[in-house]
Amino acid sequence: MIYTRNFVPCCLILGFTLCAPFAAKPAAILVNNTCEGTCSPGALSNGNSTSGGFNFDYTFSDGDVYDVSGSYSASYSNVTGSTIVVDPTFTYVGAAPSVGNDTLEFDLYQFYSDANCCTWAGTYSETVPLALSSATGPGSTISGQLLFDGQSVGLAGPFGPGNYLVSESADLDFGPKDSSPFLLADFAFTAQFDTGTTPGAGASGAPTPEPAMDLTCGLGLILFVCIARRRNRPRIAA
Amino acid sequence: MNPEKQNPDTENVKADDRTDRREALLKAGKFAAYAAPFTLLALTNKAEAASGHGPAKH
Repeated sequence: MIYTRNFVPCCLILGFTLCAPFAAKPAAILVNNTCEGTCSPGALSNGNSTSGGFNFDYTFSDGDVYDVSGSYSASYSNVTGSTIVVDPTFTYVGAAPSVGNDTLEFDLYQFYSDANCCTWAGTYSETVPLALSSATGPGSTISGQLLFDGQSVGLAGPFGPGNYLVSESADLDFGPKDSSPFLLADFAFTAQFDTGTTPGAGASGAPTPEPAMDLTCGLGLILFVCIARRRNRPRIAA
Repeated sequence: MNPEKQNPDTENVKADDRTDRREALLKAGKFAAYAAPFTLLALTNKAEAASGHGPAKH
């Protein structure tokens, strides 16, 4: 049947579309200047995109342990420009209240590559949602900013407990680096957890921390449709 | 001379194709209805993440 004939190729196309970004070279994630996974960020050229997830623990010398998790994506087009998205969540996972002041510096690095002439200078923008739990120790803060070749679009925070949304834009000029084939983006967050942070308390680069469920939901939906189609096939053929 | 117009079997095949296509469109519509909430959820989640944008090299 035409429907069945079209359905399978559609599923294959959708599957490859979903999986293609995961085959691209990922961004680099550093916490307190320590690589977590890939140390050298990939370079996205025209038409390229990448995405991925992260979930690991970071232990301070005082013994306090934090879980760092989230997802990211980035893309580059020589028409529409560069994009970068990340939603890091930092959660104190110790069994008892934290014993020291702990500063988590999170950096997501991504290169963009364009060998064309001219300049990277222009107007850059960012939207930075921030959240900090009230169960963090007194004096705790969260901040975030997007930098291109070391120049900040704008610092959001530092803020105390609560939910915040900051949007900034800035005209950036990179001087001698304007004509470089590469531009380096750095989405940077600093979470300062002071002594007395209770287990489960956290900070986030998103207002309502959500697990990375998009891919799971998508694959679950596709599986559901495939099973439903297989079970209904005799009825349709009849 | 158009051989398709002379052949009743071909006409029947075309009619069957149209029926199948209609069936496929109906099913596709149902699929879209199922997929819409998930798509909305995905878009909503993306909107909540920290994001940035820059110009293309020009």
